[in-house]
Amino acid sequence: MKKMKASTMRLATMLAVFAIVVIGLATHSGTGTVSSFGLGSIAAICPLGGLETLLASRLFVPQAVISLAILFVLAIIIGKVFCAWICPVPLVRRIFPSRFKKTPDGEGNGTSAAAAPEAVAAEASGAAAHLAPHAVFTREDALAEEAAVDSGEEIIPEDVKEAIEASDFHAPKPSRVRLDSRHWILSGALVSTAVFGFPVFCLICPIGLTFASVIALWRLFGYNEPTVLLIVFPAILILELVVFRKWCAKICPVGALISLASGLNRFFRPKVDETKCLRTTRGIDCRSCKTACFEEIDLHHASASAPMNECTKCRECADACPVSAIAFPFSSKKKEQAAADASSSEAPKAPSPAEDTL
Amino acid sequence: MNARPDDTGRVDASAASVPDVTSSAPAGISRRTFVEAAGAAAGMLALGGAVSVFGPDAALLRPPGGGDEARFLSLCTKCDRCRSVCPTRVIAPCTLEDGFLAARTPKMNFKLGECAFCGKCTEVCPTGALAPYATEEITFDGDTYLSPDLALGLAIVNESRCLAWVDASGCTICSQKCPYGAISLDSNSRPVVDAGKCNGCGICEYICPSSQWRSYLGGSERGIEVKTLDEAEAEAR
Repeated sequence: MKKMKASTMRLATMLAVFAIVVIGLATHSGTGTVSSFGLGSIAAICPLGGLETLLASRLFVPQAVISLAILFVLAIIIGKVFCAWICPVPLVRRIFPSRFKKTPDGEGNGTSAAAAPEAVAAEASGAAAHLAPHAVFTREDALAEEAAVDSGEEIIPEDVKEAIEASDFHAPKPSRVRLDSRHWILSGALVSTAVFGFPVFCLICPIGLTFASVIALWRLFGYNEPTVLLIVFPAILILELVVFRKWCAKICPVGALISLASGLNRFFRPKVDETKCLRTTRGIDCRSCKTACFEEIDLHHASASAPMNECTKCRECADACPVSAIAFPFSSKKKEQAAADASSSEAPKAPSPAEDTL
Repeated sequence: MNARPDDTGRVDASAASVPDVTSSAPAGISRRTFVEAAGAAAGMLALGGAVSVFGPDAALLRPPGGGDEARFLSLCTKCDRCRSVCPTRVIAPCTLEDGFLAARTPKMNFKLGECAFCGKCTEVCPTGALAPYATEEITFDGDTYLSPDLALGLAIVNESRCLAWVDASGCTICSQKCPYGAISLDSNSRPVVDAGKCNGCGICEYICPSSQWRSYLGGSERGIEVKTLDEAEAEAR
C-alpha cells in the first residue's frame, strides 16, 4: 500500500476548503469565507479579524471573543495547522508561473506535481528544480551507505557516538516563541487598527482577497457587475505572493498570531524515532527532514532551528525521511515512553499503527 | 560527520546578538531584518492612515443594523456572509468606486431586490457590524410584512425620471406596492414620500418601471430611489 504524499493530502484539503466556500457562495447558504465561516449565528472568525474588530470598535464583541478563545485552544491542540492545510495562499501561489519560483523559501508552496490542471504545464518545468533540494539524502543513498557501512567494521565510530550524545539531539522547544518580522507587522496592523478605527490588515489580506476575487468573478457572471476590483485584487495578490515571495515566513500576521498561541502546542508534534534515524543509528549526517521543512525547523539541532511552535504539521519532514523515522503522535510523551520500553526490552521496535496513521 | 557538539542545545534570546552566518537559520534579528520589520510595521500604520484620509467620501446604504457608518466600518471583516445569505439578493459587495476602505463591504442595491427585514444578515454577521433590530408584523394587501424599528434610508422621487411626474402617465405602482403606506399621491396622481413612514426597504425602487420605459435616456436612474438619510437631508435643503 502506497501512502499518499503529504503534499497531495494538503492540496486536497485546501481544494476542499476552497470548494466548500465556493459552494456556499453558489447556494447562498451564508456560510461565508475563511474570514468567517459558520452556520447561522455560530461562526469561526479569523482570529486577526476578530482582534481587529475588538480594537477598532472598542466594543465587547462576544462572538469575536468566544471565537478567539476557541481558536486559541485549537492552536494549543493542533498548532499552525491552518497554514499548511487550510490557507488558500499556497494554492493561489501555484497558479502563478513557475519562473517566479526561484527556490523553495520556507513557505508552504511545496505542494508538488499533482497540481491544479492549469498549473501542471507551468509546474512541469520547474518541478524538478523545485523538489531537488529536498532530496538531499534519499532512501537509495541510505541503502548505499548501509551497504558500505556493513562491509566495513564499526557501524558508528566511537567519536561520532560521543559527538551525537554531546550534541543537542533533540527538537526545539515549542514554548520558545521567536518574534520576527511577522510579529512586527502584526503589532503595526493592530496599532493602526486601534488608531484609525477599522480593521487595517483585512484591506490587503491575501486570504480575504483570494475569496474576494472569486466573489468579484461571481458577480461579473451572475449579476453582470464588472468592477475594477477584478483587476485590482489579483494585482495585489500577485504583488504580495509573487513579488514578496516570503509572505508566509516574513510578513503574514495571521500566521504570527497563530504562532503566539501555538507556543503552547504539545500535541501532534513531529517526533524522531531515534531507533530508526540515520543520525543515531549510523552517525550519518542526514539532513533530509531539515531541508524539507518550510519553517526551517531542525529536529536535530535545537540551536540552529526555528522554534517548534512554527511547525504547521505539513508532514514534509516525515515524507522526506529516508527511513520513515518521523511521526506525528498525538502526544510525544507516550511516544517517548514507548521508545524507552522498546529499547529496554531490546525488541525490534514495530511502529504502532497509531503513529503510522497520524 | 557534523554532529556539532559545540551547540548548547537551546535557542536563546541572546543568540540574537550573534548572527549565524553559516546557515540561513533564523537565529535572531539582524539589522536588515530589523529595518525590514520596522518598515513593514510603519507600512501598516501608513496604510491605515492613507485609507482613512482618502476614503470614505460618503456614507453608504448599508444592510439593516449597519446604519452607523463608523461603527459599521470598525466591525465589518468583509467576510461576505450577509451578502451570501440574503434571500432577496439585495445585498451587493461594494466596489472600488465606493472607496478602498469600503470595497468588499456590503451595501444595498435596490435594483436587485428589496429588503424584507428578515433578519438573516444580522443573524449571520459574526461581529455585530449589522446590529440586531426589532420588527413587528404588519399586514398589507393580504400579505404579512415586517416593519423594523429603524430606517435604512429614505425613498426620494426623482422628478425628472418618474413617469408620473414627467408625462403624467398615471403610473402609481410604487404607491400601490409600498407595504408601509409611505407613498401617497398628490392631486395630480404623482407619488409623494412620507418621510415619517418610509423605512428605506427599497421595494419602490425595485419595482419602479421608469428605467425600462425611459431606457432611451440612458443611465440606470429610476423614478424613485432610496438614499441614505444624510443624502436625503442634503437633498431636502
